[in-house]
Amino acid sequence: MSWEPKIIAFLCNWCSYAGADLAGVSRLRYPPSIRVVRVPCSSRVSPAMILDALKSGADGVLVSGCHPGDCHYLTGNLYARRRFYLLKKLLEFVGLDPERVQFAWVSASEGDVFAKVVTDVTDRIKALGPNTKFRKVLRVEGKS
Amino acid sequence: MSTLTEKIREAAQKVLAEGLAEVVLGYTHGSLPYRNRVTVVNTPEEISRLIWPSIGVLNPANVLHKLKGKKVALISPGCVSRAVVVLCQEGQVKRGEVYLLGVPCPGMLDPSKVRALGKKILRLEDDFKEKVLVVTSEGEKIVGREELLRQNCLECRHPTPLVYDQLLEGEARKPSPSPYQKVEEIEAREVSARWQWFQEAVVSRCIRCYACRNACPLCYCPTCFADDSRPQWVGKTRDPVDTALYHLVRAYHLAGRCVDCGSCEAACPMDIPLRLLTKKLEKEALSAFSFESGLDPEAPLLLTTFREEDPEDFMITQELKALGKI
Amino acid sequence: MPVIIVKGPKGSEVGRELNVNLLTLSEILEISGEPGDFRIRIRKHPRYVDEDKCIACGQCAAKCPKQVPNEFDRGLSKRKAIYLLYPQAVPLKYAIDPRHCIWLKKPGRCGFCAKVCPAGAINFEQKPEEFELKVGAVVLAPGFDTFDPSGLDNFGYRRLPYVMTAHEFERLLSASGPTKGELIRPSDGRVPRKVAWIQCVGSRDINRAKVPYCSSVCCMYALKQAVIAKEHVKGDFSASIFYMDMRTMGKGFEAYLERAKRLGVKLVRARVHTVLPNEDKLILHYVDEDGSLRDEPFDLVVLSVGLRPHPSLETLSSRVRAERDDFGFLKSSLLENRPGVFVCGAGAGPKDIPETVTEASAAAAKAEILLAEARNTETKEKTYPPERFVFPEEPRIGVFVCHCGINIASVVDVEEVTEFARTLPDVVYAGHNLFTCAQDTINRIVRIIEEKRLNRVVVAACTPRTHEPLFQETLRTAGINPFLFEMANIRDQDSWVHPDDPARATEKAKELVCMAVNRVRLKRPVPQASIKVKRAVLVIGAGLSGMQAALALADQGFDVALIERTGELGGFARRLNREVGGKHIRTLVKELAQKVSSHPKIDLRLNVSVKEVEGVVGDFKTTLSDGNVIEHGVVIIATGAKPYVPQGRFAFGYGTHPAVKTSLELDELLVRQALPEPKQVVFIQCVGSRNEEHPYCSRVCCSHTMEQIIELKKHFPELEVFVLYRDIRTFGTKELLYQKARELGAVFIRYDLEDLPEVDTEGGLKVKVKDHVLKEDIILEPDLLVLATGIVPDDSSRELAKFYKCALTAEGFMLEAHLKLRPVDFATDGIFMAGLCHYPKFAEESITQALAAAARAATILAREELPAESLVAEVDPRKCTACGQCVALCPYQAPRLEEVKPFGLVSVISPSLCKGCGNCAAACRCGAIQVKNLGEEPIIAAVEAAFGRVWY
Repeated sequence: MSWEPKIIAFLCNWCSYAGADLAGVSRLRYPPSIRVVRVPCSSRVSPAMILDALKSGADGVLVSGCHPGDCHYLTGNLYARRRFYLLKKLLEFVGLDPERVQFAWVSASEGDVFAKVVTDVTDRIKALGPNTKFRKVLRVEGKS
Repeated sequence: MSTLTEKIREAAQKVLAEGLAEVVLGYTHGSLPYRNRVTVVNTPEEISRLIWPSIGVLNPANVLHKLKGKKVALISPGCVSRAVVVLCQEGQVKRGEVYLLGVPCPGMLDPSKVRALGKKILRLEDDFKEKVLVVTSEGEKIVGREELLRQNCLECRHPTPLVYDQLLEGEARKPSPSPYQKVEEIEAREVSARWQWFQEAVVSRCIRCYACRNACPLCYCPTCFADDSRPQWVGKTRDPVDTALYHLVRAYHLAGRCVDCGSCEAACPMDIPLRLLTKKLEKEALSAFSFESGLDPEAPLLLTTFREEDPEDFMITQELKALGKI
Repeated sequence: MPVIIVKGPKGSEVGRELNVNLLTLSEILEISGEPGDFRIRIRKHPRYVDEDKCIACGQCAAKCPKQVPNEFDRGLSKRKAIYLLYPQAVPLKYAIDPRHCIWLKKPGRCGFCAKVCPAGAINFEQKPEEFELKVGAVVLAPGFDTFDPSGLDNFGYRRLPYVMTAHEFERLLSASGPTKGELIRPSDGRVPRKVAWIQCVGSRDINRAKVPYCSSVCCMYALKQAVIAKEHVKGDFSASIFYMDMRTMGKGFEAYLERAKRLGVKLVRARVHTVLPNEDKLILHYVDEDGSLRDEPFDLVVLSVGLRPHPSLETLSSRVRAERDDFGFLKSSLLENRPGVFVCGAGAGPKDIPETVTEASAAAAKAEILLAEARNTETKEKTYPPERFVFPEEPRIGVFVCHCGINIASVVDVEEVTEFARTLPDVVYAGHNLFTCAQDTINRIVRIIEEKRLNRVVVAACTPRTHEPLFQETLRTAGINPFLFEMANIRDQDSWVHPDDPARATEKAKELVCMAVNRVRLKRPVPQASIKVKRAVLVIGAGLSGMQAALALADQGFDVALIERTGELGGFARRLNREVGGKHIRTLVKELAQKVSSHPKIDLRLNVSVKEVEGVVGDFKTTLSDGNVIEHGVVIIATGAKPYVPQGRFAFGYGTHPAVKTSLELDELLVRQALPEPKQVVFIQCVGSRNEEHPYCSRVCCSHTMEQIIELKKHFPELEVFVLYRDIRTFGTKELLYQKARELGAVFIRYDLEDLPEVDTEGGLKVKVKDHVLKEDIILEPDLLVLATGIVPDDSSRELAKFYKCALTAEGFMLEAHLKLRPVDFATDGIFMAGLCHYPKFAEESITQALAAAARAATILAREELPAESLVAEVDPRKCTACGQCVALCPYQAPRLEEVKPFGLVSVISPSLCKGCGNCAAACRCGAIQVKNLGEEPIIAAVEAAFGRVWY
């Protein structure tokens, strides 16, 4: 089997998670690369969580929330947008491949957009290859 | 004796005499000519200890919390005033409890640049304008001031404080015309070269002593994320990924807050260019959100506000839309 | 208990509500009895699919060989004979269309659906059922149909391939429509670059379409379609709307119109005469505003078809004995058709979504008043065994993996996933089921929880968005706290999207299970939070709306405090001269005032205002200016608005010349019959509306002018009437007033905002206006100049909004939680609005909104306790520095800085205000804030599990 990247996708419960479900209901196809973590709002996701995902071995991280104006919590996504902008610029600055960390707006009715975003992000990360820079080699810890 | 030092002493005298403050927090000579330090003056008799340091010192705002309950007069060049403003915005300091003695800042010299001038530095004479006379064990040298200034002073956008209770007379450096030159130099490199720089200049040098955090007047969390164990964001070893994560999150935690006082770099025993990370975020905050930290105690912080028109072209969906793919 | 009878499916909230009995595919046969005691005979048509068994996997539709036009897509796509009308249908169950099903027509011939259905849900033997329901009140909400323009041959619909209705166009723009939102001409698949909308097709047309009323919604939907189409089409695109009057009289609509103009949507004031074919284009033949004849080519023409009564109304109205109006809509006198039978929505006349939703709540209020005595007599509530105290136990996790028939199992190796789950630490049970959500499996899960003493459960199946509540209930049934649960979505987000890669889909499923196990292990039991409700309401403002809302709630038996800033009841309405619901408005106000003053449940207080507010929904404390404190569970704000006082550019001689009056002053003169006979009257419309200072339409002025013209002409038949206007906005059946005014001889002259009429008060009164048709100035010399003044927000709104932490629009009106779907709710829970403080509106609309606000308030007042968000944020005071970031960014004002011993000043988050979004937690640098069960640890545990790192 060819290498398939593993991407952690933080999806807000109200829009993007529903959009991902709709992609399934519509039987759209996208690469089996993403591992979805459901969060209440894109603003729940802190930069440290994104970095932790990369550190744990993610080849990429996708954070997706509601479109501006649609946030279930009114403005959470707009605060998140600022945070993510700064994080993305900082990661770019230190030479971490900027394509590895992606942010999106996907509404509950945009199953097709979700599928396209996942496909596109997966392609980009495939082109970069595995995350070797920011991955901490972990041992699976057993119960002692 | 420089006139700025005289002015500071005079003003401090008056502040204590008039009861505008109980103590004065400022700078004094250190044990070596190129090592000044922060001091607290409690009585008028001690005022003669106060100086305007020619050579850079840590940010005195960092010790404000130790003086809680006392009204403090603070010798404040631009960056110190800005640090206090951020602390006020974040409720750590009450504006009324600090008397800001504003200093139009001529910039401070970089101790490591001075040290490099000779084996033993005996004396310095700084005209605070153009030249510095350096007396070393090898002889005397006159050096252009610009050559010896700290990088953060060279890149300073606000040498004169905007927020103060009293502003001393004097001539400040002009605001830097190219505050982000060093940042731009890194930005211009290729991704791999940037990563290499980050690894070599920051990650591999770091011994995780956290002096940068401890020196920072704006790092005041009771438990720093770097020390937290639930969850443990940063491993306790010197794994390069943990170190990188520490530096990225440290810089991010200062986004829209850092006042570029240079304390982190001054404190770093490994000469890590820590400011470049915070400066990068400062640059982004200014260009993307027209935001500068520490200029207005009433203004919201960078991350507690937003504008509808904040940039979003960095988002994959907007990019795909622009490409006509979605 | 309300019974909803729908032919088509309705919203998902209704589907989940235990106290709503949703009868789909059903029709009323007969109704008898009287208000409070009706008997309704119902026929339920067969679905041929067992609703309890269908899992909506869609395999039946995939196999069904019979294709039929999809009516939901207006025939632009095909569906099967077994189908879901649309993906969000409620209940989400397939149905067989007996008109097309091969088996039902010839039993034994096809039956593929029954063969492939993994749940055995197909039942060809179902027969229609008839039964009787006993109800106290009936609400009719039959909806509408759109006008069929096939009969208007000049537009060429169905004859010319590039002419379509707006309804069809709407489907083209929809992401779930026939083209997945791609804008192409259905006939040749080409992208149209130049599109025209023709307004008023089947509206305001007595000659050809024979529809005299305005359909109210078409201007807005055409603007919306034009704007969205511009966004959808890349590159060159031009949108033109051909219209008579641009009717954007709703809240926020005028701003949308301006936005559309800025985006380059062309507005052409012209009635299109004919649409002609020309190769692969269409030529629009019309006369422009200058009177010149024009031919303009377009790629696509959209007919903005109007709203008409649904054809089924004829049968329904006769069976229910509900009267219809001249146009065939259900009659509605303040929402009542006949005693005990209420109507709402577009079945009673064309209207937009906000009005429809408002009417729906208002009709519910009417029914509530009628049935107040019976409240809670038939309410259903589920009971559960006491919760097991699992806190000190080691985690004992059970994993249930679902086949979902073959939906998951055909792609994912369910057994392998189950085996894998068994190897995970703390997992003491793992099993797989054909249908985990089937009732027998649910019962088995309950048994296994008890037998294995599970204290945490993971279900790997479909999506938590639809099934989490079901499984959480299962946990409660087994005596386990419902929050000790996690789902792994291995269907919608795995098997369904990776059908070609079973190996990787299985790998992904295993990791998703591992993530869920890691996450559930760290979860703690959380008590279901609730707030005790103070069953009293505060109504602020005793105008028409405030009084109506107060009465609607008092009549249901709730305690009402009604406060009024002035010393009098009635507000704005006292100044009007109109008929409302068959009565003069001033009589109506007097009657209402009489009722609220003497109602035993209403505590009326005049000359007081709000001074201080604390508390949250269910438990407010409001201090009044006289020092009295009112404790209440909900608030209705009905503080009204003010008439605009003509000034500046818009003074038009007001205050200078005595013959210049505002429309309210004319009302007063008419009521007092004190108007000396005028020879010529001129009305100027939009005074204080639709300009820079007040960039919105005041909605009522055009219709009010028509009413005044009709009354003036009644008293003075010889009177000459001129109306200077920008767009006449007599929407809905108010259009008939406009028609009447024209018939009575009123002359209408249009003006632009850039070219205002000029009024000269020196000597006699002179009004100069430029006539667009004649292209010359006209000088009028009226002896009465009436300024149709707009409605502007009252400054007190601003103060009140601050007290109750509510938002205002840029114009200063109250801002609702959602412009369309929650038109009387504020974003802050427990606070509702009614009347002019929300937006300019007619008295009838204010009354409706007041009833709606009362109904919304009653949803809270009717309960002892309100469920609150349980998974809220909490502050660890040891880590908090009181930096105030959380306070600054929370839109719900949940965090506050407080002194807490021994920690000093720290943030304290109110669990009743917190919605659990976690924004503050992500912003907190010190890690002092955690959301219950959604803290950093469970999230990171899930992330790290994806890479094989198991936490415990």
